[in-house]
Amino acid sequence: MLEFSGALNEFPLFLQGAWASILYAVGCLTLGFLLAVMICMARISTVRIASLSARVYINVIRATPLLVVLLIVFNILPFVGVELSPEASALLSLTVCTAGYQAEILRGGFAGVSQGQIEAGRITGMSEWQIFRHIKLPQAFRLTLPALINETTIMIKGTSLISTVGILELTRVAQNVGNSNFRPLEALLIAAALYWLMTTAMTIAGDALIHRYAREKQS
Amino acid sequence: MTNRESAIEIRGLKKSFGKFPVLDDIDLDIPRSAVTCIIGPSGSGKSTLLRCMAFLTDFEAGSILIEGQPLGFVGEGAARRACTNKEINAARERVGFVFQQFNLWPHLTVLENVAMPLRLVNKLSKSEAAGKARKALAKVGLADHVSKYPTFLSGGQQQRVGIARALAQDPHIILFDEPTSALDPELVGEVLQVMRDLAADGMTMVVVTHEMGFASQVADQVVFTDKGVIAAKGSPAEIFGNPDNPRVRSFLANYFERNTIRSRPAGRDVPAAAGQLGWGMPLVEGSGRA
Repeated sequence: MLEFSGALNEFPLFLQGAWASILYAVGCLTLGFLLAVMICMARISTVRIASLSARVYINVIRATPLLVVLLIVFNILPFVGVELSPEASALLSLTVCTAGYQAEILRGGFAGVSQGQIEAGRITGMSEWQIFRHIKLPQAFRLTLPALINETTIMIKGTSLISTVGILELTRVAQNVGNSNFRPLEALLIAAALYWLMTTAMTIAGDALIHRYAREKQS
Repeated sequence: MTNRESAIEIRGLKKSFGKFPVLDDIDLDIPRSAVTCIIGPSGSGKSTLLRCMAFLTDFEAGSILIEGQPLGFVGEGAARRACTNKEINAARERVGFVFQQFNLWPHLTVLENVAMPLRLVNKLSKSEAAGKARKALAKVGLADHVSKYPTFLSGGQQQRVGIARALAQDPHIILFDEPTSALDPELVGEVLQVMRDLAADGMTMVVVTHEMGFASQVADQVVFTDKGVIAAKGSPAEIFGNPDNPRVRSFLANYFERNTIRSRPAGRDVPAAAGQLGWGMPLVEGSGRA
């Protein structure tokens, strides 16, 4: 029989762990988005070296498991003289991973903004940065929002991997509690329920945003 | 050297796409407070010529002065260099552009489409920009549609937003690139009416158009382009009345042929079966076509 009372006595620990997971997810997704925009710009630029570097970056990141990236950053960077705290290593690994995926997602969105709209910006005297910030980026974001929301749910769950480098987030809390009261299954089920809550809340918020943007368009 | 009467002065303009010359040594003056219509067959270079006047397309040789301000390139021969962005914008400031495909920004409301450049470029405050945008939108008859998104408007309304966006920045010159070509026939009139109003206000306008009726009624100068050169130029009476240029003649003959309505003589109906099959296009008696 399942026996939850032991694990539930530690529920505040689970909430602290979930909160840490949320912080890492929000942090890596935000930093990752900014990095992704830059990588994406490089990827679609006509400067060959920029475009090529971005391609290599995206390819390498997409071919490497997040866990491997994490272990490389955590174990190998110190050998080349880069000392990062476990927290910084974790955030860095999550960020470089999601940035590669988000860059590739955004690329399709930028391709969806017509040249005519950009010319309309130029003729009114807008600078290239203003055109990017006020015409291209908002539309690329809207066009790729479903895929970006999917990426956020993947990364919320992806934060569980940083438990391997000793970060006390939800998965690590569940393991600790389960080990100490010899009821690992119950602890993990509680963690699973909390992950479900987080991703579902994210999906609902995302759907609300999609719904709001849909009012701009006649179907 | 600058002709004080000219809003735009084009000298020796050359542009080619690969080996194919699109504009071949064009000289043209656009008079102030007048309407210049550019007509001509497809591929004759008329849209490219207009886009050069806003430097949306660059060119290989020649010069364009917007009210005396060089656009795109300065200097001649070896001293010729591309204008800086600042110089380009200094010349563009005087020019508004209306696109065939409207090119509104779909993620912004009608009001924001007009107000955003005023805020970002003309540095007006949010409320000043909104006020000015409302005024421009009222001028094109869209005061009641300011909070809608562009896709909820008809093509004619969208094009009027495009005109309001150009107008709001107080340009001295507005360039129109086939402004009614993407519209359903019954929506053309409302756009042309706004353009007539602007012409009556004394706006300097250059209009690339297939609307010969509009050109003949509103233009002060009609320019006919063919194969990258200005084949004919004159008043509407000179161009449409009795042109001596054979290319203009055949272009207009073809145009009027397509736009003349003739009734089909009675008793010459296409057989029902042919009509049902869809290949029975009724022939017009005396249409002049074999």
